[in-house]
Amino acid sequence: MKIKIILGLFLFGLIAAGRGESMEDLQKALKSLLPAEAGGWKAAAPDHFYDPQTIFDYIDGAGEVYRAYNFRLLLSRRYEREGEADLVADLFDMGSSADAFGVFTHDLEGEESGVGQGSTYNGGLLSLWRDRYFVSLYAEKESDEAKRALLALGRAVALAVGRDGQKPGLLTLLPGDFPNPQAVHYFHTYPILNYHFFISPDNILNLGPETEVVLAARPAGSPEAGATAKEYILLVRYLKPEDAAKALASFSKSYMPQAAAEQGPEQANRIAKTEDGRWTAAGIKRNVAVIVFQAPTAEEARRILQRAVLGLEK
Amino acid sequence: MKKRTFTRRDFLKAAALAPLAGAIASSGLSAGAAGSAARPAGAQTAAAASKSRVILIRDKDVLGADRKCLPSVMGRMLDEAVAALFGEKDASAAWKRIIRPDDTVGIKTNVWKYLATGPEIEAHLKGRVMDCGVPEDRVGVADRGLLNNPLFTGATALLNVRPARTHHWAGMGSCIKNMIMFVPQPFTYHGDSCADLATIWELPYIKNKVRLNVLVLMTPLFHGIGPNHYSEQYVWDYKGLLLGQDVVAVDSVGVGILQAKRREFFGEDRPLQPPAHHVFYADTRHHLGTSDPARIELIKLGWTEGVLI
Repeated sequence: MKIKIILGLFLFGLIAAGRGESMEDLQKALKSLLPAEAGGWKAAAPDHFYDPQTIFDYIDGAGEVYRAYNFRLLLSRRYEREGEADLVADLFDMGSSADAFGVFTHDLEGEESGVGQGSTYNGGLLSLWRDRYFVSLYAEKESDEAKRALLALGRAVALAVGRDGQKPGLLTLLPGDFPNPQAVHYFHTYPILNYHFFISPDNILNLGPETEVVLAARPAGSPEAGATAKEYILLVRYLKPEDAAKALASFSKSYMPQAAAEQGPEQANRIAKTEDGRWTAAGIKRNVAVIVFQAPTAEEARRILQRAVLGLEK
Repeated sequence: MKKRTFTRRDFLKAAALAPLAGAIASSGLSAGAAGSAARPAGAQTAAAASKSRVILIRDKDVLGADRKCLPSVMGRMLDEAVAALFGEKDASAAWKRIIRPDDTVGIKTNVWKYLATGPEIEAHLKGRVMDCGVPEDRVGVADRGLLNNPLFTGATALLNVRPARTHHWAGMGSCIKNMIMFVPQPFTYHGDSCADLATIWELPYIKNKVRLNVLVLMTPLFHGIGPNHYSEQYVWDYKGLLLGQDVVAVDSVGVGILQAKRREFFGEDRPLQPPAHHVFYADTRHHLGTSDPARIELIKLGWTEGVLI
């Protein structure tokens, strides 16, 4: 394991060097984005930096989420104010704006706060992203004053970042049936998929760091499905069309074996009724797989799938 | 034989049969062996026919100002629960069923900054171990550094105590998971959302040494947000303790309580994210204990309002 860690650090160094940025550069860049004080809270030394190998020393299991989005470096800073609970600023350099957006979509609970390119405030936690940075600002005890300070901190960081980044292009392929940005997640790997919508403990869609995935939800739209029921669409972009075909075959075999057998391997689109009385439909176009989950009717599942696939043809 | 792939559809099938915690256990995969009340926790030799006894005890007066445990009330709860677990009239006799004077005892606690086990419970457990005749220098209380602590590496008996909470990657911070600090690099168990945490219990430092599991539900965390996975708005005063020798049974009841609270709070069925499947795989895959409600004897003592289960 020590060898793995040393190798990981070596690879991390190579990647950073490949971009012309040393570890020291990355640290300096992060430090420059955080203000020394906000709303009466002052930075308390020392700052702590964590990379993908050391992040577990700080946040244990949650570190896997940031690793799943290829984060490069985390700066964690505490702010103190006499008579008040601490504020904790965690500033992540995600390496790309797509992954900064993605990790932001991991947890979308809360109210939009108008900070950065997207933000949520919930229970003393302000999360936001801008360009390649994801920022988590947390008050250990929530109060109106702490909230004001968090918002001031967030605005200061967003301003210091200075420019917007691109959202992942895959988002543009979502059909208009799923318009709510608060219900869209972008990621790469199957543990994150299972976090939002459990499919299987096995990687039956062959997801990995190189795949791009968008999962979107909306109300199921039928009284029979229940007031809180949702239907989902999953778009997965693979590197090559043959990867998408293989993944669809793997998914069909495990998740809708009867449909796969009845509708034949040459059938591009498949549909199956699941045990909850809802419908799953799956298809591919070039290197993108589309799967609809929990549609209230077969017609609805087909309609959404066809609409998504048609969108891919454009 | 080729391994069968498990999917969401298996959950959907199982949900109709066992809507709460036993979903996976009753899905047609191999069921785990039940641990019996008088054996070391997680013992694989437990008779299949017996049920695992779990005690849920609550007291509405256990928390004082700032949600701190009142030691006298907490102590009474622990004593009553341990006696009930072993079917003894008093706690002293019950403790002597699991601790001998010549034992070296490690009390594995949890010091997570936002929700720790707390000194009141640790002190009471330590006191009861010493009442069994174990000298103080052979009783350790720790969370970190276990592999460098002779009271844990040399322990002949372990007590496993931690608060119940949701967990960003494992679904639940469980009693099964609490033993992760016996592993030099805990992250090596993170695969598939910590699915195989139960294998830790095969390590020589742990196997057949855990005499009691205590899942603390004074102010459980039923939902987490952000990298630090904590917000005061998602804890509530449940004022309970779950005790048992079968760690899987204790944790699966705990999962049920957290899920029931989430249902109540969010007004919809919102499963743990990610699912705490390590608890159920501890049964179905690793046979450490039982997660099947039909094979758990849950005894509820004390305050019943808002019990949720």
